[in-house]
Amino acid sequence: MRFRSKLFIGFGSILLLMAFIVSLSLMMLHDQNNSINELVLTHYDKIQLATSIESERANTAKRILDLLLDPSRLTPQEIMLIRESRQKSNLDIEEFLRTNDENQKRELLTSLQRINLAYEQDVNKVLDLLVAGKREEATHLFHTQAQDQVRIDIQEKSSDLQTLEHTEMYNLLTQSTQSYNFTIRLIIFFLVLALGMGMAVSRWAMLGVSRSIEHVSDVITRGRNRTEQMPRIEIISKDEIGPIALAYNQMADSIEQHTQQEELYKQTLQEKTLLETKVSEIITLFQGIPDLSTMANLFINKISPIIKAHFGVFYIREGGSDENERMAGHYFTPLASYACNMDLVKGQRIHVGEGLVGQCAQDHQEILLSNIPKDYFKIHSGLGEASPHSILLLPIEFEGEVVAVLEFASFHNFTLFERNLLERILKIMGITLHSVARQVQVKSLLDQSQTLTEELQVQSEELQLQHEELRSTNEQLEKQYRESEQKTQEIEKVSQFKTEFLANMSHELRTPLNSMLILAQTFAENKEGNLTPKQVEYAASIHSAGKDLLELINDILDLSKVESGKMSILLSEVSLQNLKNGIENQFSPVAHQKGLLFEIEISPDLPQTFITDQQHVLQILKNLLSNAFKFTEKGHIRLKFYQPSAETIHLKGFTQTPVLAVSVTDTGTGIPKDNLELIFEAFRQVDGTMSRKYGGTGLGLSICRELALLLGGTIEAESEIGKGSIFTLYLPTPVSTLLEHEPTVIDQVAAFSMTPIEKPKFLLPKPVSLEGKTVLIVDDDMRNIFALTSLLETHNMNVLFAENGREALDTLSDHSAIDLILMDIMMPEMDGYETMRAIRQIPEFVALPIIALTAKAMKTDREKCLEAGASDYIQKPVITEQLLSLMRVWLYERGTKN
Amino acid sequence: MRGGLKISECPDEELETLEIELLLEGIYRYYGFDFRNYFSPYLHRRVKHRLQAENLPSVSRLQEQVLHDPGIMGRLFGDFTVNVTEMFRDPDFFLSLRRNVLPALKELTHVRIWQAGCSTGEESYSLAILLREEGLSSKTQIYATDLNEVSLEEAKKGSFPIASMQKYTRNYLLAGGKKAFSEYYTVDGDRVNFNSALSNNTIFAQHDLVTDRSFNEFDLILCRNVMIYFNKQLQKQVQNLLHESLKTSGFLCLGSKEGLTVSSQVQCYEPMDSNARIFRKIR
Repeated sequence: MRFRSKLFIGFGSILLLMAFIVSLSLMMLHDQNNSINELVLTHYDKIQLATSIESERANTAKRILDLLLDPSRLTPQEIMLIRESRQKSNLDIEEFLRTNDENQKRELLTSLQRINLAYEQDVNKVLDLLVAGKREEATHLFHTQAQDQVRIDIQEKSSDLQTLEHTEMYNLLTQSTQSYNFTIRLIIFFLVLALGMGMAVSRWAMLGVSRSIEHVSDVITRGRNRTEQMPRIEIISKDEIGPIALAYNQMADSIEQHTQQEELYKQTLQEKTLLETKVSEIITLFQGIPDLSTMANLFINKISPIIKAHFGVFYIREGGSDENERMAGHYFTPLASYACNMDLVKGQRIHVGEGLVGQCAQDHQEILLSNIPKDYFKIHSGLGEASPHSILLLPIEFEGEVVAVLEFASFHNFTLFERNLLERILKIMGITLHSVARQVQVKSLLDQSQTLTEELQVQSEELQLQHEELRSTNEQLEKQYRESEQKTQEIEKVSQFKTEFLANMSHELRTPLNSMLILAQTFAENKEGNLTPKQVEYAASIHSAGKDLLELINDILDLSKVESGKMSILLSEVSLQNLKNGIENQFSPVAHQKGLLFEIEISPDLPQTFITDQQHVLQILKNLLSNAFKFTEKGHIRLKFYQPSAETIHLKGFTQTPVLAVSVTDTGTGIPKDNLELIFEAFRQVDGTMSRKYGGTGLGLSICRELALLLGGTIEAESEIGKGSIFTLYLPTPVSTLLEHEPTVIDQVAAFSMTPIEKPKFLLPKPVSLEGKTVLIVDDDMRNIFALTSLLETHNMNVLFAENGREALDTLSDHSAIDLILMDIMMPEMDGYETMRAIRQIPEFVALPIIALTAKAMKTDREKCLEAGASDYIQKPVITEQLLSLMRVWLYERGTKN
Repeated sequence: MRGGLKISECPDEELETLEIELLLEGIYRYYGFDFRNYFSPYLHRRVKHRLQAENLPSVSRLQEQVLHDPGIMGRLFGDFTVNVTEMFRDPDFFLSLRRNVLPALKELTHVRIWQAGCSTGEESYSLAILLREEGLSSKTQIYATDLNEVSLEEAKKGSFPIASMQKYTRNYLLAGGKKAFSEYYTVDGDRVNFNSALSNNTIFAQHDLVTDRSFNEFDLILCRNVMIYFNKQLQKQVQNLLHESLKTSGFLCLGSKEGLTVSSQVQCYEPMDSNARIFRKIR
């Protein structure tokens, strides 16, 4: 049965039942209504009538009584009213009779009618009597016993009627209630019946529908999660589900078909995604790779398992970075490997076209080998080894050049997917390889440059350090120098004192000594002959000792004169012959006396004359000769003037030629070699004992040497113990022609010394002194100028001032020796900034320290000062200590420069 | 002594390299100072300098002397460690420090600064002046460390030669000085004494970046022109040490020619001012 019929039947039957119940109820309601109508209309009217009868009687009675009591009120109108009342009660009774057919009531009513009629007649009689004025009779008549009886009867009857009607009414009500209850029960029964039937019918219809739908939905649900093979719905019912099932089955067919297609797409897509994933996995692997080797290793170790290769080698192109050997020089060398001992293949060089690797590089094409011979190559594992099934060689290209070659071996054939993957990756690899190589190059360059920069920094710091060290060394040196200079000065002073003392002393000594000598000589001459020979001898001894003393004093004086630079030189033309004669005259007697041979020899190549200080030369020679005679007991003494060889001249360090050499050779005791230098020092002889044996002051040689030095020459000594000594005097002798003019007096030794030794220059510095420095104060406030001037002058500084910028510029151009400027900013005419700018324009004053005096601590002011060219600034009012410190800082460099 | 990067193949040089390695090993084993990973051309030059100064013919001879005479060791130590410094060196750096870093430090309630390699203290005083002018000095603690105790003693004095003062003044002004530089010093002879109150919140202490560990966490670390004397390996080690000692979002300042060389370290910082070599730690 169809859903529609089922639903029609179901809901139709319920509707019918409902209609039945409703009509039943209506009918019953109608009945009820009827019975109530009857109840109210019939019985109520009758009760009303009965009541009316009684009340009319009472009314009549009352009126009559009133008339009886007061006959004056008797009017025809009143009589009318009474008669109408009587008539009305009769009508009521008739009405009651008409509507009633019940016997009991009829009897009652008939009797009532009768009594009422009788009562009416009585009333009429009373009235007549009253009208006639027979009030007594009327009253009497009205109050007879019969009359009362009539009235009571009427009252009783009507009340009986009422009671009867009430009883009937009650009965009717009871009946109606009963019928109502019955109706209710009936309705409830039908309602329950209708509900039951409705439910049954509905259930039947619902079940029928839902079962079919459940079946369909069941099947659909079962097929929900299996799109590839969906269940079909069996078409069993002939209802509307039939077409649905059919439609569903068709849909399932197409879904299945679709799913299959989708599956196919999905698979391809998955493969693609897998490919992409792998590719991107590999690409992400290369992020932040520091070098090619790491990259190659990572790559080969990642890709090999993916493509199920069991062996892999990464060959990289190397060499031939030079443009010329670009093609020729290239070779491929293993950089990384998978499942292969790198040590075995490392260092291998495969040139382009060489072997399959080379071929692959040459052709830019992959090479796939299958059916590998058993002994071609073996893949090892701990358990065993076997030949691979296939070998694949692939080139990696960048910009049309093969930059690397990959070789893989596997126990299985490479699938299309794997080869696709490789193809995809290799395209990217070329770029990646290139960029990594670039990166490596850039990084190494960067590292290199960083290292170089750091190295540079280190070196510059070191240089600074060394500079610093140099400075400190210099400082030390200078300190030492200063100390030594101080010492020298002290020594000089001491020696000055000594010389002066000696000179004074000698003078003071010589005067009395001379008198003593003269006196002693006078005594020794014994002109008066009053002295004993012994006394004469004593006097001679005194004279001789005094003479020795005088000689000593003279020597000391000479020496100190030479040492203190007070010995003057008188240059003149000296004749050798004269010199020779003088010496000969003096020493020949001595030689003769001591029995020594004394020879004077003049080399013939010498000029006849030369220029020198004759006095001093003579003094030197005399000294040397007297020494020679002193220490020579036997043999000879030879004085020789000659021209030394050029070599000797050079050796002695003479720059001026010619040089005259004078040697004194003796055959005396000689001097030990160790003492050769010693003997030239003052108060020295070879040993202390000598002086006692030979006498003399020990100053002779010192004086000789000093004199020789004074003349620009030198004295050398050679000696051998027991054989004698040779003292040689070397004297530079300027060519006489150069000195044709008047002999000149040259005051000091300096004239002959080689080059004046300059005081060394030092980088470093004494403590900065403000003394003697010149400061220019530029300020328009005289009080400031005054305050600063008095401050600076207490530090012995020279102060110049200018009251405005223009004046300052003028002052600057007049006094170039200004060391520092104190510049007020706020000035009329030309302010501090402008002035400073103007000063900096002058090349001379670019580096001149200018200290700006700012009244305000404003940042902008300071910046403006610096911009205008101030070297530093200080805030007014100026703190003395701060200003002095500042000036010391800025006067520092100039202090050393000047 | 030029061209330190190239190690010549001449066997003499190889021998000398060996000798220097032995010397450094000896110094490390005997005195505990580890110079083995210092920048080798630098060490070569310094050692040669010492050889000349001591008038010694070979490094081995120097080694003998160094091991037996602490005096020579002291001088060699000085050669290795006394480095160049000046006040407000690289004024641009100090300007950047003033503008970019100190405002960030102002937010903190307490600031700890480590100045690694303070040498003779010029930079410490510069820093103290900077902090004072930026109103940070009251809540700041500066730890100024150096390997060389002689330098530290110098640093504590705060007395610098007058010869450099003109340069320092220029540097100070270029670094954005807010006052007159002369307010901070008085001149005594050829020395300039800096106001001792400047170093009130500075602790001068010996610390060896090579062998010692991190000793606190800092908001700002200055390690300028120290690592240039180290080789790559030691640079890495020291960079790790600095990273360890720096709070997150703290600042690291390097010398004008230095950079973060360790790649893992580079990622931990974001450059605040690349020219001034100021980095901020981000992780």
